[in-house]
Amino acid sequence: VTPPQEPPIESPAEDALSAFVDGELDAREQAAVEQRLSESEEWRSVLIEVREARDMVRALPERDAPPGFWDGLLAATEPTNVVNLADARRARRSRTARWVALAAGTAAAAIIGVAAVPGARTVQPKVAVLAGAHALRSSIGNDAISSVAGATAGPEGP
Amino acid sequence: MRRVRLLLWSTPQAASRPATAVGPARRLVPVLLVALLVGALVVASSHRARATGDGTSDSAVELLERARQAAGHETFSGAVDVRWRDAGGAHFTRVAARSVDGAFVVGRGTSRVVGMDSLRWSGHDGVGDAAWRAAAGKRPPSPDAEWDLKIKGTSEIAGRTATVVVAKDDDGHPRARFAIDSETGQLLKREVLDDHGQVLRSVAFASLMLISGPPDPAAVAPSAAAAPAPIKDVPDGYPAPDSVGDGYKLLGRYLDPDGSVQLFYGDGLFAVSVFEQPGEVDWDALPAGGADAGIDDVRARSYSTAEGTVVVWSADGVVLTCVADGPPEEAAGVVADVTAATSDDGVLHDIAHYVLDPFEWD
Repeated sequence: VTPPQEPPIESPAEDALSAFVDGELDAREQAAVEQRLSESEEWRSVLIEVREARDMVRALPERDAPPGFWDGLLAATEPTNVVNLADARRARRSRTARWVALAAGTAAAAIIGVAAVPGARTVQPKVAVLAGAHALRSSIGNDAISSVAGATAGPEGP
Repeated sequence: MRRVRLLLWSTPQAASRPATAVGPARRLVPVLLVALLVGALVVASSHRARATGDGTSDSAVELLERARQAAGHETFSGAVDVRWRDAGGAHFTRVAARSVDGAFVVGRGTSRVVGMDSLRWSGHDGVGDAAWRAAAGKRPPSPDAEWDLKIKGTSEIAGRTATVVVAKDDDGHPRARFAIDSETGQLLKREVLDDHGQVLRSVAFASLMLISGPPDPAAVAPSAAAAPAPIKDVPDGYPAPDSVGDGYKLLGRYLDPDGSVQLFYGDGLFAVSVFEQPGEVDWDALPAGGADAGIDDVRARSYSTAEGTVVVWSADGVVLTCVADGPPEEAAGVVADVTAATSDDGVLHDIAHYVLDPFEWD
Protein backbone atom coordinates (compact mmCIF):
# COMPACT_ATOMS: atom_id res chain seq x y z
CA VAL A 1 0.00 0.00 0.00
CA THR A 2 1.39 3.23 -0.99
CA PRO A 3 1.17 5.70 1.83
CA PRO A 4 -0.76 8.81 1.09
CA GLN A 5 1.55 11.46 -0.19
CA GLU A 6 1.26 15.12 0.22
CA PRO A 7 0.25 16.85 -2.91
CA PRO A 8 3.31 17.90 -4.88
CA ILE A 9 4.33 21.45 -4.47
CA GLU A 10 4.35 23.40 -7.60
CA SER A 11 7.72 24.70 -8.48
CA PRO A 12 7.87 27.86 -6.47
CA ALA A 13 7.46 30.89 -8.61
CA GLU A 14 9.88 33.74 -8.47
CA ASP A 15 7.53 35.84 -6.38
CA ALA A 16 7.90 33.20 -3.67
CA LEU A 17 11.36 34.63 -3.13
CA SER A 18 9.81 37.87 -1.98
CA ALA A 19 7.62 36.07 0.52
CA PHE A 20 10.67 33.98 1.48
CA VAL A 21 12.64 37.15 2.24
CA ASP A 22 9.76 38.51 4.28
CA GLY A 23 9.35 35.23 6.21
CA GLU A 24 5.82 34.74 5.01
CA LEU A 25 6.10 31.12 3.83
CA ASP A 26 5.00 28.09 5.79
CA ALA A 27 7.43 25.33 6.52
CA ARG A 28 6.75 23.35 3.38
CA GLU A 29 6.96 26.32 1.08
CA GLN A 30 10.12 27.52 2.78
CA ALA A 31 11.73 24.11 2.39
CA ALA A 32 10.82 24.08 -1.28
CA VAL A 33 12.33 27.50 -1.85
CA GLU A 34 15.48 26.53 -0.01
CA GLN A 35 15.72 23.41 -2.13
CA ARG A 36 15.36 25.42 -5.29
CA LEU A 37 17.92 27.94 -4.10
CA SER A 38 20.43 25.19 -3.47
CA GLU A 39 19.96 23.93 -7.01
CA SER A 40 19.66 27.12 -9.03
CA GLU A 41 22.28 29.77 -9.51
CA GLU A 42 19.65 31.92 -11.19
CA TRP A 43 17.38 31.77 -8.14
CA ARG A 44 20.24 32.72 -5.84
CA SER A 45 20.96 35.68 -8.06
CA VAL A 46 17.34 36.77 -8.01
CA LEU A 47 17.26 36.36 -4.24
CA ILE A 48 20.18 38.78 -3.91
CA GLU A 49 18.41 41.30 -6.11
CA VAL A 50 15.21 41.03 -4.12
CA ARG A 51 17.05 41.55 -0.85
CA GLU A 52 18.98 44.55 -2.18
CA ALA A 53 15.84 46.14 -3.54
CA ARG A 54 14.02 45.61 -0.27
CA ASP A 55 16.90 47.05 1.77
CA MET A 56 17.13 50.09 -0.49
CA VAL A 57 13.46 50.94 -0.20
CA ARG A 58 13.38 50.28 3.51
CA ALA A 59 16.32 52.66 3.94
CA LEU A 60 14.11 55.50 2.80
CA PRO A 61 12.93 57.64 5.71
CA GLU A 62 9.55 56.85 7.15
CA ARG A 63 6.92 59.50 6.76
CA ASP A 64 3.79 60.02 8.79
CA ALA A 65 0.60 59.90 6.83
CA PRO A 66 -1.30 63.15 6.68
CA PRO A 67 -4.34 63.55 8.92
CA GLY A 68 -7.29 61.55 7.60
CA PHE A 69 -5.25 59.43 5.24
CA TRP A 70 -5.91 56.10 6.97
CA ASP A 71 -9.58 56.91 7.50
CA GLY A 72 -9.89 57.66 3.82
CA LEU A 73 -8.08 54.49 2.91
CA LEU A 74 -10.32 52.36 5.11
CA ALA A 75 -13.42 54.03 3.74
CA ALA A 76 -12.27 53.35 0.22
CA THR A 77 -11.66 49.67 0.91
CA GLU A 78 -14.74 49.05 3.03
CA PRO A 79 -17.00 47.64 0.27
CA THR A 80 -14.39 45.06 -0.62
CA ASN A 81 -13.18 44.16 2.82
CA VAL A 82 -13.44 40.51 1.87
CA VAL A 83 -10.05 39.43 0.69
CA ASN A 84 -10.00 38.26 -2.89
CA LEU A 85 -7.41 35.53 -2.88
CA ALA A 86 -6.82 35.69 -6.57
CA ASP A 87 -6.12 39.36 -6.32
CA ALA A 88 -3.94 38.76 -3.29
CA ARG A 89 -1.96 36.18 -5.16
CA ARG A 90 -1.57 38.42 -8.13
CA ALA A 91 -0.44 41.16 -5.82
CA ARG A 92 1.94 38.79 -4.14
CA ARG A 93 3.23 37.58 -7.47
CA SER A 94 4.01 41.07 -8.51
CA ARG A 95 5.86 41.96 -5.28
CA THR A 96 9.26 41.24 -6.76
CA ALA A 97 8.47 43.43 -9.67
CA ARG A 98 7.41 46.18 -7.27
CA TRP A 99 10.68 46.02 -5.34
CA VAL A 100 12.67 46.15 -8.53
CA ALA A 101 10.54 48.96 -9.92
CA LEU A 102 10.92 50.98 -6.75
CA ALA A 103 14.65 50.48 -6.76
CA ALA A 104 14.90 51.39 -10.41
CA GLY A 105 12.74 54.45 -9.84
CA THR A 106 14.88 55.57 -6.97
CA ALA A 107 18.02 55.19 -9.03
CA ALA A 108 16.44 56.99 -11.97
CA ALA A 109 15.27 59.83 -9.76
CA ALA A 110 18.76 60.22 -8.38
CA ILE A 111 20.24 60.30 -11.87
CA ILE A 112 17.67 62.83 -13.06
CA GLY A 113 18.28 64.84 -9.89
CA VAL A 114 21.99 65.06 -10.57
CA ALA A 115 21.33 66.19 -14.11
CA ALA A 116 18.73 68.74 -13.02
CA VAL A 117 20.75 70.37 -10.25
CA PRO A 118 22.13 73.68 -11.45
CA GLY A 119 25.76 72.82 -11.01
CA ALA A 120 26.97 71.68 -14.35
CA ARG A 121 27.46 75.04 -16.01
CA THR A 122 30.73 76.86 -15.64
CA VAL A 123 30.89 80.39 -14.31
CA GLN A 124 33.48 83.12 -14.79
CA PRO A 125 32.97 85.55 -11.91
CA LYS A 126 33.69 89.12 -13.01
CA VAL A 127 36.20 89.88 -10.32
CA ALA A 128 36.41 93.63 -10.98
CA VAL A 129 32.65 94.06 -11.22
CA LEU A 130 31.99 92.12 -8.02
CA ALA A 131 34.70 94.02 -6.17
CA GLY A 132 33.03 97.22 -7.34
CA ALA A 133 29.62 95.99 -6.26
CA HIS A 134 31.02 95.29 -2.82
CA ALA A 135 32.46 98.80 -2.68
CA LEU A 136 29.08 100.31 -3.58
CA ARG A 137 27.25 98.38 -0.87
CA SER A 138 29.99 99.04 1.63
CA SER A 139 29.83 102.79 0.97
CA ILE A 140 26.23 103.01 2.19
CA GLY A 141 26.22 103.94 5.85
CA ASN A 142 29.98 104.33 5.67
CA ASP A 143 32.45 106.91 4.43
CA ALA A 144 31.45 106.93 0.79
CA ILE A 145 34.52 108.51 -0.81
CA SER A 146 37.10 106.13 0.62
CA SER A 147 34.81 103.16 0.04
CA VAL A 148 34.20 103.74 -3.66
CA ALA A 149 37.44 105.39 -4.76
CA GLY A 150 39.00 102.00 -5.46
CA ALA A 151 36.06 101.04 -7.64
CA THR A 152 36.93 103.85 -10.04
CA ALA A 153 40.45 102.58 -10.57
CA GLY A 154 39.30 100.78 -13.73
CA PRO A 155 37.36 97.66 -14.64
CA GLU A 156 40.49 95.60 -15.18
CA GLY A 157 41.64 96.19 -11.62
CA PRO A 158 45.35 95.85 -11.09
CA MET B 1 41.29 84.13 16.76
CA ARG B 2 42.03 87.81 16.49
CA ARG B 3 40.87 88.69 19.94
CA VAL B 4 42.11 86.11 22.35
CA ARG B 5 42.33 87.30 25.89
CA LEU B 6 43.33 85.36 28.96
CA LEU B 7 41.86 86.48 32.20
CA LEU B 8 43.75 85.14 35.19
CA TRP B 9 41.34 85.51 38.00
CA SER B 10 43.56 83.72 40.49
CA THR B 11 46.72 81.73 40.54
CA PRO B 12 46.96 78.20 41.94
CA GLN B 13 49.37 79.49 44.57
CA ALA B 14 46.90 82.07 45.72
CA ALA B 15 44.13 79.52 45.79
CA SER B 16 46.15 77.18 47.98
CA ARG B 17 47.41 79.89 50.29
CA PRO B 18 46.13 79.27 53.82
CA ALA B 19 43.64 81.82 55.03
CA THR B 20 44.59 84.01 57.96
CA ALA B 21 41.99 84.61 60.61
CA VAL B 22 41.32 88.33 60.92
CA GLY B 23 38.44 90.26 62.42
CA PRO B 24 35.68 91.79 60.27
CA ALA B 25 36.77 95.38 61.01
CA ARG B 26 40.35 94.66 60.12
CA ARG B 27 39.27 93.13 56.84
CA LEU B 28 36.98 96.01 56.01
CA VAL B 29 39.54 98.81 56.33
CA PRO B 30 41.96 97.66 53.62
CA VAL B 31 39.06 96.79 51.33
CA LEU B 32 37.66 100.30 51.64
CA LEU B 33 41.06 101.84 51.09
CA VAL B 34 41.64 99.82 47.96
CA ALA B 35 38.17 100.64 46.66
CA LEU B 36 38.76 104.35 47.22
CA LEU B 37 42.12 104.20 45.50
CA VAL B 38 40.73 102.32 42.50
CA GLY B 39 37.81 104.72 42.25
CA ALA B 40 40.10 107.72 42.31
CA LEU B 41 42.29 106.24 39.60
CA VAL B 42 39.28 105.48 37.39
CA VAL B 43 37.89 109.02 37.75
CA ALA B 44 41.28 110.58 37.04
CA SER B 45 41.83 108.35 34.02
CA SER B 46 38.40 109.09 32.62
CA HIS B 47 38.85 112.83 33.12
CA ARG B 48 42.22 112.76 31.41
CA ALA B 49 40.82 110.82 28.45
CA ARG B 50 38.02 113.29 27.95
CA ALA B 51 40.33 116.25 28.32
CA THR B 52 42.95 115.11 25.85
CA GLY B 53 40.78 112.93 23.61
CA ASP B 54 43.54 110.44 22.98
CA GLY B 55 44.24 106.83 23.57
CA THR B 56 40.82 105.53 24.50
CA SER B 57 38.76 103.16 22.45
CA ASP B 58 35.62 105.22 23.10
CA SER B 59 37.15 108.32 21.60
CA ALA B 60 38.40 106.36 18.60
CA VAL B 61 34.97 104.82 18.04
CA GLU B 62 33.38 108.24 18.29
CA LEU B 63 35.75 109.61 15.66
CA LEU B 64 35.13 106.70 13.29
CA GLU B 65 31.37 106.96 13.69
CA ARG B 66 31.57 110.67 12.98
CA ALA B 67 33.68 110.03 9.89
CA ARG B 68 31.03 107.67 8.53
CA GLN B 69 28.48 110.44 8.55
CA ALA B 70 30.67 113.43 7.66
CA ALA B 71 30.80 112.81 3.92
CA GLY B 72 27.02 112.79 3.90
CA HIS B 73 26.80 116.52 4.57
CA GLU B 74 30.17 118.03 3.66
CA THR B 75 30.69 120.02 0.47
CA PHE B 76 34.13 119.72 -1.02
CA SER B 77 36.19 119.06 -4.12
CA GLY B 78 39.47 117.26 -4.26
CA ALA B 79 41.71 114.53 -5.63
CA VAL B 80 42.03 111.11 -4.05
CA ASP B 81 45.05 108.83 -4.37
CA VAL B 82 44.33 105.10 -4.48
CA ARG B 83 47.24 102.73 -3.92
CA TRP B 84 47.35 98.97 -3.59
CA ARG B 85 49.85 96.16 -3.82
CA ASP B 86 49.66 92.69 -5.30
CA ALA B 87 52.12 90.06 -6.47
CA GLY B 88 52.82 92.19 -9.53
CA GLY B 89 53.95 95.17 -7.51
CA ALA B 90 52.53 98.50 -6.40
CA HIS B 91 49.69 100.28 -8.18
CA PHE B 92 48.56 103.85 -8.05
CA THR B 93 45.76 105.91 -9.50
CA ARG B 94 44.42 109.36 -8.75
CA VAL B 95 40.72 110.08 -9.04
CA ALA B 96 38.65 113.23 -8.65
CA ALA B 97 36.13 113.51 -5.86
CA ARG B 98 33.40 116.06 -5.42
CA SER B 99 30.64 116.15 -2.86
CA VAL B 100 27.80 118.61 -2.44
CA ASP B 101 25.62 118.13 0.61
CA GLY B 102 26.19 114.38 0.44
CA ALA B 103 25.63 113.95 -3.30
CA PHE B 104 29.00 112.88 -4.64
CA VAL B 105 30.89 111.92 -7.75
CA VAL B 106 34.16 109.99 -7.61
CA GLY B 107 36.19 109.29 -10.74
CA ARG B 108 35.62 110.67 -14.17
CA GLY B 109 34.06 109.78 -17.48
CA THR B 110 32.46 106.38 -17.52
CA SER B 111 34.70 105.11 -14.76
CA ARG B 112 33.04 106.81 -11.86
CA VAL B 113 30.70 106.29 -8.97
CA VAL B 114 27.80 108.59 -8.28
CA GLY B 115 25.90 108.55 -5.04
CA MET B 116 23.32 110.28 -2.93
CA ASP B 117 21.70 108.93 0.23
CA SER B 118 21.23 105.21 -0.47
CA LEU B 119 21.57 105.51 -4.25
CA ARG B 120 24.76 104.36 -5.89
CA TRP B 121 25.60 104.02 -9.54
CA SER B 122 28.80 102.82 -11.14
CA GLY B 123 29.73 102.56 -14.78
CA HIS B 124 32.71 101.17 -16.59
CA ASP B 125 33.38 101.05 -20.30
CA GLY B 126 32.20 97.80 -21.76
CA VAL B 127 31.99 95.98 -18.46
CA GLY B 128 28.53 96.79 -17.32
CA ASP B 129 26.76 98.86 -14.77
CA ALA B 130 26.12 98.31 -11.15
CA ALA B 131 23.78 100.22 -8.95
CA TRP B 132 22.40 100.32 -5.45
CA ARG B 133 19.13 101.93 -4.66
CA ALA B 134 18.72 100.78 -1.11
CA ALA B 135 20.63 98.81 1.42
CA ALA B 136 18.14 97.47 3.87
CA GLY B 137 19.91 95.50 6.50
CA LYS B 138 21.01 95.29 10.07
CA ARG B 139 23.27 97.79 11.75
CA PRO B 140 26.92 96.77 11.88
CA PRO B 141 28.61 96.04 15.20
CA SER B 142 30.60 98.73 16.97
CA PRO B 143 33.97 99.42 15.32
CA ASP B 144 35.77 98.19 18.41
CA ALA B 145 33.78 94.97 18.64
CA GLU B 146 36.62 93.02 17.05
CA TRP B 147 39.52 95.47 17.00
CA ASP B 148 41.65 97.26 19.54
CA LEU B 149 41.27 100.92 18.58
CA LYS B 150 43.55 103.67 19.79
CA ILE B 151 44.12 107.28 18.87
CA LYS B 152 47.76 107.81 17.94
CA GLY B 153 48.48 111.48 17.53
CA THR B 154 47.85 113.66 14.53
CA SER B 155 49.14 114.02 10.99
CA GLU B 156 48.66 116.39 8.09
CA ILE B 157 46.73 115.16 5.08
CA ALA B 158 46.08 117.42 2.08
CA GLY B 159 46.90 120.46 4.14
CA ARG B 160 44.50 119.58 6.92
CA THR B 161 45.14 118.39 10.44
CA ALA B 162 43.92 114.87 11.03
CA THR B 163 43.59 112.68 14.11
CA VAL B 164 44.93 109.19 13.52
CA VAL B 165 43.08 106.09 14.75
CA VAL B 166 44.96 102.79 14.70
CA ALA B 167 43.26 99.38 14.71
CA LYS B 168 45.35 96.58 16.22
CA ASP B 169 44.81 92.84 16.06
CA ASP B 170 45.05 90.36 18.93
CA ASP B 171 48.79 90.26 18.65
CA GLY B 172 49.00 94.03 19.04
CA HIS B 173 49.99 94.55 15.42
CA PRO B 174 48.52 97.59 13.68
CA ARG B 175 46.36 96.42 10.76
CA ALA B 176 44.65 99.66 9.74
CA ARG B 177 45.04 103.41 10.17
CA PHE B 178 42.38 106.07 9.74
CA ALA B 179 43.20 109.79 9.51
CA ILE B 180 40.15 111.88 10.37
CA ASP B 181 39.89 115.63 9.82
CA SER B 182 40.12 117.16 13.27
CA GLU B 183 37.78 119.99 12.28
CA THR B 184 35.13 118.46 10.01
CA GLY B 185 35.34 114.80 11.05
CA GLN B 186 35.78 113.72 7.44
CA LEU B 187 37.88 110.64 6.72
CA LEU B 188 40.97 111.88 4.89
CA LYS B 189 43.01 108.71 4.67
CA ARG B 190 42.49 105.00 5.21
CA GLU B 191 45.26 102.43 5.17
CA VAL B 192 45.02 98.66 5.46
CA LEU B 193 48.26 97.01 6.57
CA ASP B 194 49.59 93.53 6.02
CA ASP B 195 50.85 91.42 8.90
CA HIS B 196 54.29 92.98 8.55
CA GLY B 197 52.93 96.47 9.04
CA GLN B 198 53.35 97.41 5.38
CA VAL B 199 50.59 99.34 3.65
CA LEU B 200 48.59 96.98 1.44
CA ARG B 201 45.88 99.41 0.33
CA SER B 202 45.32 103.07 0.93
CA VAL B 203 42.90 105.78 -0.07
CA ALA B 204 43.97 109.34 0.75
CA PHE B 205 43.05 112.84 -0.24
CA ALA B 206 45.91 114.45 -2.15
CA SER B 207 44.09 117.77 -2.25
CA LEU B 208 40.90 118.98 -0.66
CA MET B 209 38.97 122.23 -0.91
CA LEU B 210 35.93 122.90 1.21
CA ILE B 211 33.57 124.71 -1.12
CA SER B 212 29.96 125.62 -1.48
CA GLY B 213 27.79 125.57 -4.55
CA PRO B 214 24.81 123.99 -6.23
CA PRO B 215 24.62 120.22 -6.50
CA ASP B 216 26.33 118.63 -9.46
CA PRO B 217 23.50 117.60 -11.81
CA ALA B 218 25.34 114.41 -12.67
CA ALA B 219 25.49 113.49 -9.02
CA VAL B 220 21.73 113.22 -8.67
CA ALA B 221 20.88 111.73 -12.06
CA PRO B 222 18.82 108.60 -11.47
CA SER B 223 20.29 105.41 -12.77
CA ALA B 224 18.50 103.14 -15.18
CA ALA B 225 20.62 100.20 -14.15
CA ALA B 226 18.92 97.40 -12.29
CA ALA B 227 19.78 97.30 -8.64
CA PRO B 228 20.16 94.32 -6.33
CA ALA B 229 17.01 93.71 -4.33
CA PRO B 230 17.10 93.11 -0.58
CA ILE B 231 15.69 89.66 0.26
CA LYS B 232 14.69 88.08 3.54
CA ASP B 233 15.90 84.59 2.72
CA VAL B 234 18.26 83.27 0.12
CA PRO B 235 16.96 80.70 -2.40
CA ASP B 236 17.28 77.00 -1.55
CA GLY B 237 20.76 75.63 -1.93
CA TYR B 238 22.59 78.90 -1.31
CA PRO B 239 24.58 79.05 1.92
CA ALA B 240 24.03 82.11 4.10
CA PRO B 241 25.60 81.69 7.54
CA ASP B 242 24.70 84.38 10.08
CA SER B 243 28.31 85.06 10.87
CA VAL B 244 31.59 84.26 9.15
CA GLY B 245 35.27 84.69 9.75
CA ASP B 246 36.39 86.63 12.74
CA GLY B 247 33.28 88.40 13.96
CA TYR B 248 31.65 89.34 10.65
CA LYS B 249 27.88 89.49 11.09
CA LEU B 250 25.40 89.06 8.26
CA LEU B 251 23.96 92.53 7.66
CA GLY B 252 22.08 92.06 4.40
CA ARG B 253 21.04 89.59 1.70
CA TYR B 254 20.50 90.73 -1.87
CA LEU B 255 19.39 89.18 -5.13
CA ASP B 256 21.19 90.62 -8.12
CA PRO B 257 19.33 91.10 -11.41
CA ASP B 258 21.40 88.28 -12.94
CA GLY B 259 20.11 85.84 -10.33
CA SER B 260 23.18 85.70 -8.18
CA VAL B 261 23.02 86.22 -4.45
CA GLN B 262 25.08 88.75 -2.51
CA LEU B 263 25.60 88.42 1.22
CA PHE B 264 26.96 91.47 3.00
CA TYR B 265 28.83 91.10 6.29
CA GLY B 266 30.46 93.61 8.62
CA ASP B 267 32.56 93.50 11.76
CA GLY B 268 32.10 97.17 12.56
CA LEU B 269 35.32 98.32 10.95
CA PHE B 270 35.54 96.34 7.72
CA ALA B 271 33.07 94.63 5.42
CA VAL B 272 32.88 91.44 3.36
CA SER B 273 30.62 90.54 0.46
CA VAL B 274 30.05 86.95 -0.65
CA PHE B 275 28.60 86.56 -4.15
CA GLU B 276 27.01 83.19 -4.98
CA GLN B 277 26.23 81.80 -8.42
CA PRO B 278 25.17 78.25 -9.33
CA GLY B 279 27.77 76.32 -11.28
CA GLU B 280 31.44 75.48 -11.25
CA VAL B 281 34.36 77.86 -11.60
CA ASP B 282 35.82 78.13 -15.06
CA TRP B 283 39.36 78.45 -13.78
CA ASP B 284 40.84 79.10 -17.21
CA ALA B 285 38.51 82.03 -17.80
CA LEU B 286 39.31 83.93 -14.63
CA PRO B 287 41.17 87.21 -15.10
CA ALA B 288 44.94 87.28 -14.93
CA GLY B 289 46.76 88.60 -11.92
CA GLY B 290 45.39 86.14 -9.39
CA ALA B 291 47.27 83.69 -7.25
CA ASP B 292 46.22 80.11 -6.64
CA ALA B 293 45.42 79.68 -3.01
CA GLY B 294 44.39 76.61 -1.12
CA ILE B 295 42.30 77.46 1.91
CA ASP B 296 41.43 74.47 4.08
CA ASP B 297 41.91 72.12 1.10
CA VAL B 298 39.60 74.22 -1.02
CA ARG B 299 40.95 75.28 -4.37
CA ALA B 300 40.74 79.02 -4.63
CA ARG B 301 42.20 81.94 -6.53
CA SER B 302 42.85 85.24 -4.82
CA TYR B 303 43.31 88.77 -6.10
CA SER B 304 44.54 91.91 -4.42
CA THR B 305 42.51 94.80 -5.81
CA ALA B 306 42.03 98.44 -4.97
CA GLU B 307 38.76 97.56 -3.27
CA GLY B 308 40.07 94.65 -1.23
CA THR B 309 41.07 91.00 -1.30
CA VAL B 310 38.99 88.93 -3.70
CA VAL B 311 38.81 85.13 -3.44
CA VAL B 312 37.05 82.91 -5.98
CA TRP B 313 36.24 79.28 -5.24
CA SER B 314 33.40 76.80 -5.53
CA ALA B 315 31.72 74.35 -3.22
CA ASP B 316 28.91 71.89 -3.82
CA GLY B 317 27.85 73.36 -7.12
CA VAL B 318 27.97 77.01 -6.07
CA VAL B 319 30.60 79.47 -7.30
CA LEU B 320 31.54 81.83 -4.52
CA THR B 321 33.38 85.13 -4.71
CA CYS B 322 34.43 86.84 -1.51
CA VAL B 323 35.45 90.50 -1.43
CA ALA B 324 37.00 91.60 1.88
CA ASP B 325 38.13 95.19 2.39
CA GLY B 326 40.00 94.47 5.63
CA PRO B 327 43.34 92.72 6.08
CA PRO B 328 43.71 89.77 3.65
CA GLU B 329 43.64 87.06 6.31
CA GLU B 330 40.07 88.04 7.06
CA ALA B 331 39.03 86.48 3.76
CA ALA B 332 40.43 83.07 4.71
CA GLY B 333 38.07 82.69 7.64
CA VAL B 334 35.16 83.72 5.47
CA VAL B 335 36.03 81.13 2.82
CA ALA B 336 36.27 78.38 5.42
CA ASP B 337 32.96 79.21 7.05
CA VAL B 338 30.97 79.65 3.84
CA THR B 339 32.41 76.41 2.47
CA ALA B 340 31.36 74.59 5.61
CA ALA B 341 27.86 76.01 5.24
CA THR B 342 27.52 74.69 1.70
CA SER B 343 27.77 71.11 2.92
CA ASP B 344 24.46 71.61 4.71
CA ASP B 345 22.64 73.38 1.91
CA GLY B 346 24.40 72.25 -1.23
CA VAL B 347 23.77 69.98 -4.14
CA LEU B 348 23.61 66.75 -2.13
CA HIS B 349 20.88 68.33 -0.09
CA ASP B 350 19.03 69.20 -3.29
CA ILE B 351 19.42 65.67 -4.66
CA ALA B 352 18.05 64.20 -1.46
CA HIS B 353 15.03 66.47 -1.76
CA TYR B 354 14.56 65.59 -5.41
CA VAL B 355 14.65 61.88 -4.71
CA LEU B 356 12.58 61.89 -1.58
CA ASP B 357 9.99 64.48 -2.43
CA PRO B 358 7.88 62.04 -4.49
CA PHE B 359 7.59 59.89 -1.39
CA GLU B 360 6.41 62.68 0.80
CA TRP B 361 2.78 62.88 1.67
CA ASP B 362 2.32 66.59 1.32
